[in-house]
Amino acid sequence: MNISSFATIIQDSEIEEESKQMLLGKLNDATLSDEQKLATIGEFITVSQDEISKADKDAVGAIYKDADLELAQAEKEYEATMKELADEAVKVDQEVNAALDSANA
Amino acid sequence: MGLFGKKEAPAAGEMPKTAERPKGFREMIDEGARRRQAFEASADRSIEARKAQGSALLSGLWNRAKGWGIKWGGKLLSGAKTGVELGKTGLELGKKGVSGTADALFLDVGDMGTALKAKAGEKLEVAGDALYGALDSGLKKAGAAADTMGNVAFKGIEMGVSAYKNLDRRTIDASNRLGARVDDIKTRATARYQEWQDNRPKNRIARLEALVRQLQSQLQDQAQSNTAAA
Repeated sequence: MNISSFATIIQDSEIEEESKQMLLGKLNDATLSDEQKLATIGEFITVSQDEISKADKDAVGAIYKDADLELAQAEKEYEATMKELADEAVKVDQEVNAALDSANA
Repeated sequence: MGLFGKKEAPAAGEMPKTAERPKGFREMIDEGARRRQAFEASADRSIEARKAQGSALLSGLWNRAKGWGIKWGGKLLSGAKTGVELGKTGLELGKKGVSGTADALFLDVGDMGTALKAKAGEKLEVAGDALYGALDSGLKKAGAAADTMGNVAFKGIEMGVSAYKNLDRRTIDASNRLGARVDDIKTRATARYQEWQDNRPKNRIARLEALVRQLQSQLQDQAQSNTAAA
């Protein structure tokens, strides 16, 4: 296993310097075996994937949360208007029926 | 449930689905239109019924008047001035509107209370024109009553139709406003999502993602090389 190629990739990457040095330190650690160094890379990949997934989910979730709140407010106002109109319709029914009853009296 | 029908936000790179209008949005508009149409149909039937009612009332009065006219020499409605002579015995001058016998004949014209009276054996010196005038007056009153009845009903129905049209228009306006608002929310959410996507390659997460991809690729390449060498 060519560990140095991983070190090159990490060195050339644009991640934060702190993370970069931590990873390179592990890969250059003579006390660690190649398997341990590969395990470090594997762990870094797993943790990073979780972080990426959470960051994306949080960012997009915030957008939809705002939209959902706005929609809920719009629906609430719409329902209030519909109720108002329904109440008016009942009154119209009553007035028309009264007029027809009056005509028939 | 989110705006785009998902509880969870879409994964990175996945465009949001088209926003849906609230459930029942179209049904509410359809219900408003159906209600108005049903009411108008009902109103039309009501107007027709009242026209028929008025017509039947007038027709009934004229038929009764004609009946009396025939009994009394057929001159009643013609405008002739011939008098009418009543016999000594009871007379049957119609099924309704006549009470008593020759002793006291009471003729009630129409339902309006116009009445002519004659005693038994008397010569009824009421000229045809006068009797006609009484009948005509009764008919006019009946007609006016029918008109009034029809007008009141029609005004009530007109008011109802107008009010329902107004309610219908306001319902559609409110629904359209909601639709426009939902579209606006969707447009802005989509724009924010797009902006986030556009900016993502520049942020830390994107750089981390690029490194992960490269490391995974390198792992795969080396694993394949090892397999081939073995």
